[in-house]
Amino acid sequence: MNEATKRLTLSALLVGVMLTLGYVESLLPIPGVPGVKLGLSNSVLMLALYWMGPRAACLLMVAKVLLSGLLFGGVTGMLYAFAGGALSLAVMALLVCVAKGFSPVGVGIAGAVSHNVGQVLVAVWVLGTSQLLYYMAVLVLAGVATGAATGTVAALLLKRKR
Amino acid sequence: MKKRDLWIIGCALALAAALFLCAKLLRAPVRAAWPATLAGVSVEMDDRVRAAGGAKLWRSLDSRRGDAPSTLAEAGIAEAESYAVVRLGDYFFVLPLTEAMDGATVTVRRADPEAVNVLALGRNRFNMLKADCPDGLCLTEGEVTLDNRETRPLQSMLICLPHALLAQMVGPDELLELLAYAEAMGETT
Repeated sequence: MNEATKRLTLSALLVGVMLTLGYVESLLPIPGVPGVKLGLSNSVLMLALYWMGPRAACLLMVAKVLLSGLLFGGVTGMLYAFAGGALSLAVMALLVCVAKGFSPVGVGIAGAVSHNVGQVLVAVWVLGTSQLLYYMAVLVLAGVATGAATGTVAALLLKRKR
Repeated sequence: MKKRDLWIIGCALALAAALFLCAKLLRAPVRAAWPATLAGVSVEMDDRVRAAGGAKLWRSLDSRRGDAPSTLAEAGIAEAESYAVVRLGDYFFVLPLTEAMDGATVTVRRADPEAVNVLALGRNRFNMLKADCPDGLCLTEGEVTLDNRETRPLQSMLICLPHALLAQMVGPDELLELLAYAEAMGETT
């Protein structure tokens, strides 16, 4: 198969998986802290980052945010999703492509934490309150746990292929 | 997992600790980025709210007022142990959470984009009863009470992010401080 076709089908497949995981997760909230999700679609984004590089991963992230916003979240939700996704992907791309030597678990944790920080920063801007810092701290801790989980999933999948 | 990953975890924990510390030390006044006007917004309240003294509408100011009220009575606000402050951009209204509020509801409607939030009120408590936002997160945030507002992840706040609506519980002193940075806009009916 031609290389470009391969990339196209792989990208489409990964976006599809990300959308499905994102939707299924929205139906299964983690009790206790509002707004905490496992973020399994980040495992898939990490696969894209490792297999296809930062530019492709960036396009996949934008596609996922746009599509899940239009399908499930509504337009205002897109702003938060994009802020989280962009910051998370930037941090993960730096760790994978520039500062090498971190395992997928570490990259997953950094990605999850920065995703949560990005989203709360937008909320701070929209609501004009710095009183969300406490909530951000809670979400940073939650990100360490969920990021370790999704990073482990990504590590296992990366071992399977290639 | 590699040893270097511990650096990431360490940084995240340090960040969380710093944020906890800042959250405890900082008490900045709240100002929202949007919406700047109340055009198309209506606030509907039931008879219980009216009987309990109604809701006063205020608009946030950039600086402290010279003629800031020195007591809540001077600002025309009924005495209560705690108050709900419901924010819509620069505007907010104040509801005294007295016994008379038990079972009362307040409905905030916005015409464009269409948005509805219903708050259920009670003595020293409130929660989001209904919201037509797509994620419905504010419905999972539970209730804010005088007892749990220090321990909830969102502290004393209920937030509906898609509608940029924020409801917060404040004590009498906090409310007085808040009103020093706001001007009265009259009753909401």
